[in-house]
Amino acid sequence: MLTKPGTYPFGWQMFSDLAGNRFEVLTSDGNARTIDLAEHAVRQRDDVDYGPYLADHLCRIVPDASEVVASNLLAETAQRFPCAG
Amino acid sequence: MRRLAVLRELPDRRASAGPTGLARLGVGAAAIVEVSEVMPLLHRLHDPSLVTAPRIAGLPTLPAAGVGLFLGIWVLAALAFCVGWNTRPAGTVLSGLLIYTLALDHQLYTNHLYLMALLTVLLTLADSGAAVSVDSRRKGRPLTIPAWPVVLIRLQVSIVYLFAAVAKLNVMYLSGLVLRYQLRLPGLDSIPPALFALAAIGSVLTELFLGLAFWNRRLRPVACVVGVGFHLTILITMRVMPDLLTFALLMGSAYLSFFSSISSAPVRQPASRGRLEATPEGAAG
Repeated sequence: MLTKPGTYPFGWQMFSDLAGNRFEVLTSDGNARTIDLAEHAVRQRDDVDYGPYLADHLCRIVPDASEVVASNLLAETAQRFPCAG
Repeated sequence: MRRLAVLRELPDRRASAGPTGLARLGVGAAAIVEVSEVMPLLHRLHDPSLVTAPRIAGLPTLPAAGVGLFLGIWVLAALAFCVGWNTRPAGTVLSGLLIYTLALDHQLYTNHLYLMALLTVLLTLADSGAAVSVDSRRKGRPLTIPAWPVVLIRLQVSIVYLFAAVAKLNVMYLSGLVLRYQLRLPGLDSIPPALFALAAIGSVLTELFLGLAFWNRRLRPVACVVGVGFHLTILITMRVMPDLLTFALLMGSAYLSFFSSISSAPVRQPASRGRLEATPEGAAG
């Protein structure tokens, strides 16, 4: 885990990197809304992979949500989580 | 070869109990302080408008009505562990609560909570209630304890600092950007970026030094001063309190393991109340 970008739990990587995470929810009419993690997380932590958990949560509470996108701006990666149904 | 022999004999070696008793006091106090941080988080886990991230699927969650009882037991166990009253049962209960909290949800993890759990387990196994404790006053406990948990606590100090240093060997940290973002200093915007980069390199070198220097008897006092200064600087300059205060208290407690004398030869007979003969090697540890 030391060789990968980002921080991981159980690795004593305190303040070693910036997270650069961004979350968006896409609705069925094609609009995208950026999500403020602070409004939804029990506690914001850089070492938590919020994508799958946040997707379940947002698909449940956001009307017309069709997909949640978790991006890492520093690693230039994006994960897409389609809402079921 | 001699180092290998030392490792083979480690299970039979004994260490002086005093510094480990003091370390237990510090870790117990940190566990009491930690309750103020964990309490709101455990309540927030039951807020339906917030996302939960269970670490272990199927692990029974703590019911909302049980949070008070859970934290009440936590405080009592931490207090008993701190003063060294029924130290082993108290340490076992506290270890269980800390590990359960870490296992409950990804968002409850912090490096200092993890360190607290590790130190509590090791201090419980080390019979840290043998000194500076109610137990030692009541029962007249032996003045020596098993050396191997003490050595594991020393290793933990090095692991924390060396991993922290190696993890910072990336462009983002060494450029000073991470420090620029995390520091809370007056006039932050007027500080030249090069100074942040210098501070970043300095912090990595400090952590590397602390990860190694405690093992050298001559450098140990210097390491203590540098370590205390390092954590004080972090406390004064960074945004995240009280996490960093707890972390500093835990690391300071763990430093004490380096001041526990370890017997140079295995002690086969049952522990007596006699004083441990500190040897040059034992003192160097």
